[in-house]
Amino acid sequence: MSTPSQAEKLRATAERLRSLSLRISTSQALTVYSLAGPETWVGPTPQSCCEALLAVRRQLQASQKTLTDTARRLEWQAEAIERQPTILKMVS
Amino acid sequence: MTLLAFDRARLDALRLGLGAALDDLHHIRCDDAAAAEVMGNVRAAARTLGELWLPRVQDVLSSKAMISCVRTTDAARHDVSEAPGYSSPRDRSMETITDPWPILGPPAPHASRTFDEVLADVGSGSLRPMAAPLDAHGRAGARYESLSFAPTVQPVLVGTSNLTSDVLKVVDFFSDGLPVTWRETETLSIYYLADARVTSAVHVLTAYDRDEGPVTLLDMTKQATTSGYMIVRSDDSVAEVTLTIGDEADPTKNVAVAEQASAGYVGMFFPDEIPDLRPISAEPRAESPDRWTFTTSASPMVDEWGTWGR
Repeated sequence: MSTPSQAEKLRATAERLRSLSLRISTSQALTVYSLAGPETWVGPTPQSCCEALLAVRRQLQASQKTLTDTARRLEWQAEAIERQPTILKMVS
Repeated sequence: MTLLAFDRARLDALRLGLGAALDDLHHIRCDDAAAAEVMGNVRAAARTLGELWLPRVQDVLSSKAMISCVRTTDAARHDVSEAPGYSSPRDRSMETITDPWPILGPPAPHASRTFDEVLADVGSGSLRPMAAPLDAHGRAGARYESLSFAPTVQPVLVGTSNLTSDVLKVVDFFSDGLPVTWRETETLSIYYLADARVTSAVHVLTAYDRDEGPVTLLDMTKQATTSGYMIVRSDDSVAEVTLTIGDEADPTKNVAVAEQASAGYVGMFFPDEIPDLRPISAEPRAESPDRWTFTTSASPMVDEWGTWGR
């Protein structure tokens, strides 16, 4: 039985990270801030709510970028491993 | 007093939106080590929505608001019409209530320790507790202290652990269906409190009515704002006497005729920085209620007070 190569493992991890990024991008947590504006409620607490929901949105978008950047880096590493001569692949 | 105006239909839509967003976040899962930090962010987002804002929106919706658009300025010159965005045109009326969270601030970033990490840091001494309140050692007329903690934003539940012993679990299991049942659970909970109010109060040990609590020496009371971890071990027990009703072949068909419940807690607070306790002014003010009060003096314990310690 063959075991997955290092490059295959890296690609599989990259795929999982891209899938997670996609899940986050479709989450309603990214858009719920639009329901919390001054047409919905007004005052210091509502203002804090809107800011908190925007902070959540920024945090999740930053997480998405982190995931796609990491996935891209892992794919590059996988490609680099595949381009190596066979003898180097064995020791990598 | 701070006012809050809201459009009920739109706020209900926000409630539904928060619920849907929370549901989405709870369904996002990935156990890959490369995604650990991102999953931490997802859990933090879920806490912000589920523990902080959804309960607040629900509280406002369940409040008894006036059905009108009101511009009110109170003595402290808090005018809801001066809030950002209020000047934008509206064609509908908004209901106005007193903001239930007058001391609200945005949630502080939670130091990203897990439940186990907090316990490990407590064990290693890198997290140090606040100084224990003074004990009267049972001497009548002696002074003792209490430490009260009032969250100003929703405490973040870092984690819980069921400490109920196997013996008590067995007792609970086998007493089910018997005329007398006994259930006891012991839970260790760790909360992160952001910008909580801590009050150090001084009392005199005397005989008093437990319902009213001890006399507090206001001129010696001090307060500070602090953030850190609250570790609480709570012990809840319920004893029930039941009578079997109907078919005697089914022992679970019964009705409780007497019930005695008791609850207590022991805990300590581990601040991020040593709080700077300062005397309070005598002026009345709106404050969020205390959630935990601790003493080390056993005899003057008031109902709903806990013991400071491990």
